[in-house]
Amino acid sequence: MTFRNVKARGAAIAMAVAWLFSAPVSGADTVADVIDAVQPRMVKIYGAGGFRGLEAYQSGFLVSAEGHILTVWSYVLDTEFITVHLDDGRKFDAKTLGYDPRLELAVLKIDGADLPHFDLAQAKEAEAGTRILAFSNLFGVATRNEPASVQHGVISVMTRLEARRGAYETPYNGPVYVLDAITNNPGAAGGALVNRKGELLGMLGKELRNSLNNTWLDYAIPIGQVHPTVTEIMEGKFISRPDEGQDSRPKADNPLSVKLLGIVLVPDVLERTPPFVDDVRPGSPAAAAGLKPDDLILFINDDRLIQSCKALREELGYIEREEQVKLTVIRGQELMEFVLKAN
Amino acid sequence: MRSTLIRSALAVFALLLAYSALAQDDLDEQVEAAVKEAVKKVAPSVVRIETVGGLENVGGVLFGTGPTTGLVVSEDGLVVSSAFNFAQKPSQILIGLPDGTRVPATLVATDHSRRIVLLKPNVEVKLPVPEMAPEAEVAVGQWAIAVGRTFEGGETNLSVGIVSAVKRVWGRAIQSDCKISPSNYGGPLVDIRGRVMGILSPMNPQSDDKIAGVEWYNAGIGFAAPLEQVHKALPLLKQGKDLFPGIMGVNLRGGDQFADPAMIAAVRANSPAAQAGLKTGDQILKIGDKEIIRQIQVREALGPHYAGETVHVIVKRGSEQLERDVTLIAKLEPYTRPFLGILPMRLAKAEGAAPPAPGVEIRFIYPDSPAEAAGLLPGDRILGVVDKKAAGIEQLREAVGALEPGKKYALEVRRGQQTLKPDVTFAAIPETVPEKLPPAFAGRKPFVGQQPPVGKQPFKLPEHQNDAVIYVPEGYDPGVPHALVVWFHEPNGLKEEEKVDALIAKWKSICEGYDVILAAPKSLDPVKWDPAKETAYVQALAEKLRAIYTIDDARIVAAGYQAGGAMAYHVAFNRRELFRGVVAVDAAIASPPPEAEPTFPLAIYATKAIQGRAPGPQIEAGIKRLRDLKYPVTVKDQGNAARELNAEELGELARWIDALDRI
Repeated sequence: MTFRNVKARGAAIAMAVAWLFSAPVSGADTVADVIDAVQPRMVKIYGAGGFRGLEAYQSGFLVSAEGHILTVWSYVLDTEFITVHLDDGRKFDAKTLGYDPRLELAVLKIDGADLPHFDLAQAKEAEAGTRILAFSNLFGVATRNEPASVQHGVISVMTRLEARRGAYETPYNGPVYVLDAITNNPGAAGGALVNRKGELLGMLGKELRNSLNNTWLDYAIPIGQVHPTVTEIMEGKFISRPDEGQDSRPKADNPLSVKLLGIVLVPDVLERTPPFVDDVRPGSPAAAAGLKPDDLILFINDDRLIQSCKALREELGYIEREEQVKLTVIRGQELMEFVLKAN
Repeated sequence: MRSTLIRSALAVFALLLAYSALAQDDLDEQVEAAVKEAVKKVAPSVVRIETVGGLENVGGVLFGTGPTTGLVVSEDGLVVSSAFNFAQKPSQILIGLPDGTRVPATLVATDHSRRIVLLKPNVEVKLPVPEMAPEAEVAVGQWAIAVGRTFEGGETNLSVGIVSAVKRVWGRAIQSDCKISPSNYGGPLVDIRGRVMGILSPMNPQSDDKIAGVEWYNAGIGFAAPLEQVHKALPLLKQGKDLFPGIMGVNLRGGDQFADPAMIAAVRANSPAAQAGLKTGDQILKIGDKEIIRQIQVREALGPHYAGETVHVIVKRGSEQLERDVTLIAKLEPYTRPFLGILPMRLAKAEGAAPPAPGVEIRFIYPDSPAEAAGLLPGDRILGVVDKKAAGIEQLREAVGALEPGKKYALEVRRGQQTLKPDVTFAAIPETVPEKLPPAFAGRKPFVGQQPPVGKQPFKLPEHQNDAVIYVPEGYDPGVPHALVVWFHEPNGLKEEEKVDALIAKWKSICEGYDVILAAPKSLDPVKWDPAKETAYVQALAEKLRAIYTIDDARIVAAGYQAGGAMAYHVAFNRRELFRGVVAVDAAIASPPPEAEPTFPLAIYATKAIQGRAPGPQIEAGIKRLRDLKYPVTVKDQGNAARELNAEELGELARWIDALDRI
């Protein structure tokens, strides 16, 4: 009798006992068991790159018994020669079955059968505070049959990455799990995020910096966001769509401007000059609404805080000139709202 | 039979194993639930803060545009946040309440000791005041949760860790291994019950810089100012009073601050200590209720106190114990080192020589100096000043350093068989360099005997990766104190051996003629110095050389050209106890200079030019800053274009180095 057998039998007995006393069934899954169950589904991916700052590896995980692999779409896959190492050490050539740059995902295929894998349909959702395990080959420390690195932590918060809103340089436009674990490192992208029962939650995202506070972002994309696309790619039905992120926020055909509203801003001398009103043209929409010099414009249509003259001009570019616009300004220490319409 | 026994034993073992796994899992589940509950409890008091305007760059760190976090601390809706978030001095502040509404707010006051700001919403805000965890109950090892509210969507973000240490940063902070960063600075650090232990803020015990500590973001080391301390400071902050760390105004006698007693070496003019009547030579025994056995305990005892607070101090003076109340202040007047105007004769240590006569023999009298006005002559011996006897040069320098320029003091001087008691009024240290200096030794004889290697030497410290080259004068005499010049090369400055030889050729005559040892360390990256890492190496290098050769502690100089000059400034500013001079050729100061102190003299020799690697105005600004701090700065104007020192300037520099032991 090997030790492994003892453990299996012990677990079986424990389950029976647990069941008898109505304890939670999940009680049998220790962290070690969860890790044992997840590791065979993890893969190491090698491709293009290899020079300074561009590592030639990333992580991925199996999503079918036939060898479909979910990973991130990146320069690493930009080659004819992609190699995949399974957890048992076997090495496969892989081909890119399809990719969606909008979701930053790619599906690879290796020739395999009866492979341990995650079933995307069984993926779960999680909330802030949920304990998580992150599996990846960060820094490429593992090769062949060496297991992926496991990190633990919690989900810090659910937030949205908003493409083209300046904070993050990513085409991805949607919800993410921000992680309380340092996963934002070379090679980790494409790794699997699971809860403490080993249930799949998300895929670790690419390296991303939060330009609002100059920190690195540790995050994962929820499986629910990528599942339909992955299925389409696997079924050969995927058609690359136009970038919806861009569609959701088109520039105006005839955009509004500060000039059309009759607002003169203070001279824009700094990178982030606060958008103070310098002057209001007599007879203009701004004058009619009651805007005054020294008002500081903070919001347009209750959207995000405007922090500079530049940002104000840019935001107006999304609004058609015939549209009514609500400006929130601070005068003295009071917030005031004005509705303006260009003539 | 036997096999059954083993089997049943294994079954029991397996059961136990499974049971413990079950218990562990249960615990995990409970912790997860408790963490979520704790965050839920504090969340209604956690606000999001957005700002408009302000500096874009503070201390070389590019500031993001926000948002940051704050915590409600009073019934009337006052909010505290980390001072880090306001280092850029924004022109408008908006507080985003948990329900999403935004209210304008003003900054009421800043606590520069705990790195906290107090904000006041300009409309009435009713938010719950969170429960506080008393500081005494915060224990190392307990769960800690860092909470922020900075992400899109407005939810709180959290990070889970433990309390790593308490009473950090001189008693002002709780340390945690939670991921503490601009994503949660200003938010609360809560315990597993959701009680607030402290306010997250970057800090660094080694630096009082406005944004110190941000370099450790998400590095497993982060700090929070204890909420209990913040509450104590609130009444003053509410009145709009900025709070600063309290300073007493004494300098302790140099030595090992972790071992030596707290003997006062100097009481700063017009300082709280001076007003309380503390004197040079007093030994501090107690501050408040803290016994002082070692020097470092003075800093620990004063650390939590603010300027304006009064501390009870007990000192030992001779055989008596004195008790004094000292009211701390925020800032001392810059220290001006008093100048008598003499160079001392140096002492050659020869085998079997008679012990030196007491006092300090005068080598040179500066023209137009207080010493000249008092009628002192070369060859006179200064025995003491006021009532302090000076057995040697170091004691005289320390005694003079504790006095004030502009005031009259009595000297005790021996001239032949006569004892004179002239009055002197000390001046400030001159920035001009004497034209000609007499020898520093009387009747020096060539050295005969065993001596360490001389000439050009490669020099490597086994525990460091850096290489260095040193040049020791051929006429090196271990009986004679030598100046040490640590030369920091410019980018690629010592890459080829020819450049090393060229440097030595330049300095050789100075080394031989003025008893100078030159040490030229090489940066690991030939194009740049890494101040954070290589300062420690340079210190180790200088200390190793001090151990091998006879080095005059009053004449250790950091010198360099271009980026090397900036490194020289950095090293001297951060190793005050070691360096007495900085030579910066075509270089500006890169880090804020420390305040001048009686126990650590420092003089600067700098070049300036309209065009150079370092912009002229930047060099000028640095020189002004140093002069405002009352450092003597000798400036060489090189006119239009900056360049390396020429022969004439090197000659002057040699005399400047030779005169660094002036008193």
